[in-house]
Amino acid sequence: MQTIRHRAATLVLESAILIAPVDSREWGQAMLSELAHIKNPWAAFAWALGGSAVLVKRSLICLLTFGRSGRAPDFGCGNNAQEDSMRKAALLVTCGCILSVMLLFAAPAFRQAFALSLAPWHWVFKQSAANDQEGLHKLAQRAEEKRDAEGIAFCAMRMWNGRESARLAEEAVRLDPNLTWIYAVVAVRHSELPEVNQWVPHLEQLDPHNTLPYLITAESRDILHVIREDIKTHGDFHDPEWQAAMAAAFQATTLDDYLDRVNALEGKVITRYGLTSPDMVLPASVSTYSLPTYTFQDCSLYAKSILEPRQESEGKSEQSTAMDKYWSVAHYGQMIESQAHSKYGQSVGKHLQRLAYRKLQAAAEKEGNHFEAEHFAYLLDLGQPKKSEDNPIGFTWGLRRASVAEWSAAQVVRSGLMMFVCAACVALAGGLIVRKRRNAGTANLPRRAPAAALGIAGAAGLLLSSVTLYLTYHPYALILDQVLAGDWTHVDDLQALVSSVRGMPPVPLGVGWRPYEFHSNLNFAFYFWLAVIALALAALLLVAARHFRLRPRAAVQV
Amino acid sequence: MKTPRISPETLRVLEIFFESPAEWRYGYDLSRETGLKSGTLYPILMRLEKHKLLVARWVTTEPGVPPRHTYKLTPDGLELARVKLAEARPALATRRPAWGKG
Repeated sequence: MQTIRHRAATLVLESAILIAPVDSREWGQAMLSELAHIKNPWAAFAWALGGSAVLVKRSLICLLTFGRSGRAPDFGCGNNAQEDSMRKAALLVTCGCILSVMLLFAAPAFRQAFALSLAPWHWVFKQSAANDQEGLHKLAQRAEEKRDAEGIAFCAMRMWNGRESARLAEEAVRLDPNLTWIYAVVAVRHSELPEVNQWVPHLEQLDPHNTLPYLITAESRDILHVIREDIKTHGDFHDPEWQAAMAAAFQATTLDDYLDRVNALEGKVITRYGLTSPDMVLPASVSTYSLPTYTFQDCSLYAKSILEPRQESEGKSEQSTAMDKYWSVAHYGQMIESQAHSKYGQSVGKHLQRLAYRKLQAAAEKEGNHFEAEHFAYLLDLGQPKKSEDNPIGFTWGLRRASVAEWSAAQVVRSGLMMFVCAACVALAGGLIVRKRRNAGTANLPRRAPAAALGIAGAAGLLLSSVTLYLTYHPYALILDQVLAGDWTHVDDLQALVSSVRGMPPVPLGVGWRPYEFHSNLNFAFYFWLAVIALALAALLLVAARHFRLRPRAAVQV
Repeated sequence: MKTPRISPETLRVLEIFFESPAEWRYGYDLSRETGLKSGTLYPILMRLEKHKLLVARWVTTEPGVPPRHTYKLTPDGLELARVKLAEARPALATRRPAWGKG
């Protein structure tokens, strides 16, 4: 009775015979027949492995050299010397291209670029955005298993899912109370969370002079009213709690958005867990605001509520009080502008100063103090927004950076897509050649030149698209290296690339298409090219079906 | 006809065949006698067969057991073996082990 090892040896050899070239199968059968006479199971297994290696090697050689009638090239495969030399050249080109691409995959920068090129497909294949952060979820799991408070805090700051972010933040603070400031960072990003109200007192206790907790409270009131639809615009809003929060915010003397601590913690966690993917390395502080989203509107509204009522009834003493109010707004704006780390925060500060200086200028002119009025006019002019500061939300990357990033992103996505298309061509060519090889013994064999051409073109395209991908991403890989080394100078460029790639459609044929606009914005170019591709695929399938239906049947091999 | 490349392993196979030219031999027996693994032995047999230096046939040894492939050198094969072994023997005779006393 055969042992398991004998049966396994037989199975291995039989499998190799199945894929062996036709003229080698008899030899395979010869090796198989000898197996029955080898008593030692290990010797039988070694025999089968050796024999299989011979058959597989012959099969590969035959496949790669477009073997005709299943004959390996060393055994009379070619028609003549010229055909042989062309075949060898084709084989050399194809193998060279594929080998080069494999070598490129050995480079970490290329692997990063390839992974990045797949990012737009996440929107297609994932059910929700939360699923797009698999790496972060795994990291959070690891950090929780290790009870690493900083690792958990790192994940809490970056998690898109508000509930999960809040849970992680509370866990991090429970493990290390020194991380209480993490509540501020999470609250700024997820101000809709009910936990925010419980966090704010801790933040106020942590730093009573910091204006940030009060701004967070004001925003949470805003959101509450927006949810209840109590207000149509901010101008109608007179919530005492909001008023109290904003009054406390304007009395605060400092602004700490905790970005210094965020950057320090991120650096430690990135090193600790050996993170190298751009998605994981890019700092959370750049991608989002360092102040609550409604801060601009809240501060503007509250400042106006201070500045406007004093306009009408101005006696001598009241005028002095009004000037104090104007100055308080101006000082608060100066403080915000000087201490905010983000451009958004700085634009909030400038805006408040402009409001105050306008009032101060008017008051000075009314008093006949032209010198002071001119001084305030100068300050007002100084604070006028530049072109790039028109948008108070803070998207001040500028046209040039955004354009370069979008162009690079399109190249990355297109190159990644072309790699798949070309790899599919190579696979298709291989499949066609295998099928033709199995037609051994038939007269009137289909021509193999198209399959060979498809294979060579696919391999060359694969190399070209891989090199394009690598060269396009290479400058960003250098930026990533700098970031990992602690130099964050050009991180905005990398951030812009990653954001652009994420915003690209998987097939970047149209312009301005965004995943979240898929249902709302019809993009003619996108759907036009989608239809062209669908028709081309249908035609290809039709041709393939006709080919396989009409091709001559292989002779039965005995 | 162009003769195949004669490697030391091929020479060992030829030597075994040359010892009893009329005898048909099985693959596994050849493997044991030459000490060559199947992955080395069969490519040699295939090359010899392709150059018509070796002839193979299927024989049924006993009922219920698959027929076995057996091999024998052709007259051309025997002549090649004779020549190559004659060329190799003086060299083998004069070859001394590197670690020997000399």
